[in-house]
Amino acid sequence: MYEFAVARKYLIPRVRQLSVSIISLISVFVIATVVWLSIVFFSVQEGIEQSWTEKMVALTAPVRLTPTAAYYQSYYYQIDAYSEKSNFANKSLKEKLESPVTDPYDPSTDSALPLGFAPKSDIDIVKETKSSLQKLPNVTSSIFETASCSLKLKLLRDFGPQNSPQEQVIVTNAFLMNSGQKKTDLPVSAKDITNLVEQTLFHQLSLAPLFRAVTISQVITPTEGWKMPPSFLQEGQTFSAIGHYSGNKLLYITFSEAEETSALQRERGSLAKKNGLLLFNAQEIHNTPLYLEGNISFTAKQQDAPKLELQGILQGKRIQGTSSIEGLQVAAFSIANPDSFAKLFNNPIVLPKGFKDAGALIGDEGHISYQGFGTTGMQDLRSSVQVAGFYDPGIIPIGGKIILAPPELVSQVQSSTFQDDRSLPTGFAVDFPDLKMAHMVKAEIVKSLEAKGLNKYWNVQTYDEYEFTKDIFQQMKSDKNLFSLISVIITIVACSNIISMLIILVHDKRKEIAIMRALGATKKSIASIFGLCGFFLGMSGSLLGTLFAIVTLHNLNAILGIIGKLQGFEVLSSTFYANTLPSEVSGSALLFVIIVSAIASMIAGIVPAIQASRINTSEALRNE
Amino acid sequence: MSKIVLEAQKIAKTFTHPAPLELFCDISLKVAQGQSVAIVGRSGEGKTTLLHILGTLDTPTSGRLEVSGTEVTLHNSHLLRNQHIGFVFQAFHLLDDATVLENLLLPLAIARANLKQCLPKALDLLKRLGLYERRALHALKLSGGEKQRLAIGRAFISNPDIILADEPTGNLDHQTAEEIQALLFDWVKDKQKAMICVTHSQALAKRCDATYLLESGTLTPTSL
Repeated sequence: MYEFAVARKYLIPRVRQLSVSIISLISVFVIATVVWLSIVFFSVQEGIEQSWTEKMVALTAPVRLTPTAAYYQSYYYQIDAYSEKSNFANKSLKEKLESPVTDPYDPSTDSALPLGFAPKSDIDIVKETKSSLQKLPNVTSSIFETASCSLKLKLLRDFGPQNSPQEQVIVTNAFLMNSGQKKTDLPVSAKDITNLVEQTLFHQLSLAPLFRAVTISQVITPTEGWKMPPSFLQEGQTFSAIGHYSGNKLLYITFSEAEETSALQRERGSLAKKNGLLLFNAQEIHNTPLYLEGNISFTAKQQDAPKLELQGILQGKRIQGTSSIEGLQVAAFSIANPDSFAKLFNNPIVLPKGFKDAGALIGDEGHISYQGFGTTGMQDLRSSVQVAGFYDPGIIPIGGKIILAPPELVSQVQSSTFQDDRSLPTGFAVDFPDLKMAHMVKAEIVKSLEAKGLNKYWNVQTYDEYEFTKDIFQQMKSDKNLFSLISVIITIVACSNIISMLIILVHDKRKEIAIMRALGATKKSIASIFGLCGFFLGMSGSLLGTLFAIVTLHNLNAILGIIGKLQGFEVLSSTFYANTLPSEVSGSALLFVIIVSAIASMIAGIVPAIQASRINTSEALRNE
Repeated sequence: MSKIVLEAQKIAKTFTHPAPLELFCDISLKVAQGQSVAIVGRSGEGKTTLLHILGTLDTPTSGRLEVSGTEVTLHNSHLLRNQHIGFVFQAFHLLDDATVLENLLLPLAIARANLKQCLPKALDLLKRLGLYERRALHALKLSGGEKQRLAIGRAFISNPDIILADEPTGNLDHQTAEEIQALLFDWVKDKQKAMICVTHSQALAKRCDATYLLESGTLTPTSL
């Protein structure tokens, strides 16, 4: 196709066509910028949307069935309040599911039902619904419950050599929710493991389960000092050391040059190990504690709990030995057995990351308290809990208050407090592997409920229809639409540059157009040359923009980090966005932007192409 | 009797803009294979316009034109130009940014011919035109004579039945003009093709088999 060759020639920048070349470069640059910004925006937005969606779904489920008013007005629900078998109390969904009887009402013993009471029905709504859900392929369902309680966490910190920690307390009102999903759990940190070790030791429990679950590979000594067993020093080694005296009595020895604040006298000297004896300034010492100050790192190998085999460097010399983990801080570890790790906790709760920011660590203990019927009527009930992890609640308004707890604990709290409180969400949580199937699964559920006449009792919602997510998803969709519109408009504006450039090009190439026409080129061929020019420009802009976008997305966190440092605070707050931003180019964004720019640049080529094809050959040849 | 390559019957051209002007009317012309025809006349008589009409670059107000036995219509004019007519212009009309070889091959590229297959023929033609060494140069860098030789080569490459030349030697010095004339007339004679020249050059007109004078809108045979 000679049209391609001619179009290519026209687009190669030439000094003789400076204006055309400059306008072409500007057009390509503007399109590249628009494409770049659009792809980065859409990709980041899609990534954030996906991560938010995952977080929201992690807290609930991709599809939920919540009881409607019809359920609460039904005979099935109301009848418990009139039945002795049900203790004259309404039942939660879970209780309904576990209850052996559908209709507990016994007219011979229970009082008569009031006039206008809901008509009797034999259908067991909850059990029938559960069986419908069980029949759907690749779908799991469970009852989710929410219970309100107040949480009190005791943060024991700075255990010190005497194992006498300082206590901080976090008290807050919260909602307990059962959740099987763990997709948004934050990673366990070395600080968490240190805390678990300290808590275990504080309660004088065995570290053996922890050592089975976790492999500790590196520890560091705390800043305030660690009492090092003398066996760590190797035969023949000499260290510069400082002796701390009270009068003539050597109390302890340190190794660092740290400024001493105590009133003790200090004596600089050398500590040596010779013939199995420890000598400080050539004087033999016995049972004098040796303190390693500062953060000295040891590689660790776990032995029988709580012992570690440690190897480190002090003053350039290798020291090694076996010591209890007590007083050391974990620096590196791996979770060797996640199942054993999960079993370490007593009534494990997973807290929103706000608690972590407030200083809570895995292993911290506390209790939840809630109002419930005890032996003496309404009273404060308590259950002890232990922090087993943290999760990122995303941007759900009440996300910071939702505590994920084992279903038994939630049930226990919920059944104690269950006062027909419909403000606390409850229902069936329906889970399946692919979020994109949500609407399809919903349709199937609705269909199967309709078949059994149960649909009026349930409000079936997908994750983007939940009351607390609806606004966010709608806002995100609206942001996306708005930006799509803006990017389409900007792309059209950018492509209008192409029109100007091509009109000038057509004018410049009048003679050549006439020559080609004289040699037999059709009007269509001439038009396609300029159409192709527009298309090439648009596409090279798109390609350049896409490359920029890929590079930008791969370095987005670093770029935002630099901007953040320059402005002194985070560019995108990790409270709202994830800790790391998405770096994948969104396929749909790429397709959208490339299609828009291709169409816009082709349209931009049409006007000049028509103009070019209409040139009067005879006149153009004569005027030269 | 040689085959008629170009036949114009009662060709008229009238301009309505800016003021009504009848440039010529009732012009008829027949050019046969192996025949060269010169059209002479004063400037402004419409020689180039007539040539453009004969070459299907312009449309007559009325009249009928046949090229290589095919009646010219709006739909086939580009095909006739590409396959049966060769043009040589006073101003050469080459693509400045294309190389000598690319310029030569342009009519074949427009005809969607297989350029690889045509390459030996094109290189051979360049050798005959004395432009082989310059085949990779841009047309802009050639001298006037070289440009016109290339333009003639471009007209020859698709082996047309007729060449329409508008002052082919007008911008050239005497010696170069001689060379160009030789190229054109040799081609007409050797290949038994036809040629129509619009010229002011008596020498060129004299070499043609027939000469017509375009004056006051009519074309009449004349002798020099």
